[in-house]
Amino acid sequence: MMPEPKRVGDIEVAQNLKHQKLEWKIERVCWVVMAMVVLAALAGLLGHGPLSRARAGDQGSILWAEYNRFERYQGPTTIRVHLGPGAGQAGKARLWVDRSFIENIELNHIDPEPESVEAAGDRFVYVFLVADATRVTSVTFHFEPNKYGRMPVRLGLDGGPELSFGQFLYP
Amino acid sequence: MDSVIRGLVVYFFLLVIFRISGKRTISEATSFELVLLLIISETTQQAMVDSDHSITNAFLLIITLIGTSVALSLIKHKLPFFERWLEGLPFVIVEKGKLHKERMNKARIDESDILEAARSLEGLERLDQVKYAIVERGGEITIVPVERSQK
Repeated sequence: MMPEPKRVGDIEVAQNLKHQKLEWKIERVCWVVMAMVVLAALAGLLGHGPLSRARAGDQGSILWAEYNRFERYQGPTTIRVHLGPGAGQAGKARLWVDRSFIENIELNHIDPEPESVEAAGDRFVYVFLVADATRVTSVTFHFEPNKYGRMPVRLGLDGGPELSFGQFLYP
Repeated sequence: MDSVIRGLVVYFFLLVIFRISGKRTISEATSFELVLLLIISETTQQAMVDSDHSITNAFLLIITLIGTSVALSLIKHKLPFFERWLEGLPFVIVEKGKLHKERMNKARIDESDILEAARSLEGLERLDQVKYAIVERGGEITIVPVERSQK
């Protein structure tokens, strides 16, 4: 039902200037909000970007990881795990990842490919061949998150240090 | 369940976005804006359908979108308050030949827009032949010429 038309001069029209002014005001506030959303996205608060990049663990130590604080549901992303000197023993590095993390994602591939994967209770252990254990190497997990909200990530070296961090996943 | 929620979220998001973009954008659609609309529909479609390409999902989404549209039209019909907010109201920008500059600025309309509407709708030649110009709810400008209203 269209609001009652009123007489404006010689014509009848459902004009309501009070409503119209409020509408214009809200419209302009919303433009500012839209601009802020775009700026936040550029800064990385809604996904990849400078403010999203984060590191867990100390750079140069035996184990540290680079990840994004903010990610999106089913958006392709990576976590890069750096293995410092001494992470590999007898030519192999054993990196475990929390099972709940793997279950929350669609794991596309790991660079380099692990030699084998072992299921060990609430963990998956990925075994990588390491050519030179005295140098830093890195392993990259390429995946797409399959859930919304906060996703905890835990990973570590078998019998060594572990890292625990979280990612926030937008729907 | 997911597709219904997706459908509803997308519906109301688009409703708000198109409402706050202002009336001029839709009614004034140039060929570029048409392309923009196609891009928007393509972007929306991917988020809405997700990876479920089943017929059930498609039917569910269509029912959700059309159903919401029908429900809103019912609400609008009963409650003028909702109608006002969802569709907006018409307002007069030329009153007895006098331009309401402030309203025109707010609505991003200039004299050439009024003249264009005057030419295409009434075949008028000059602004002083326009007695009333009204921005309708859809954003289009309608014209009441001087001669006709004097009859």
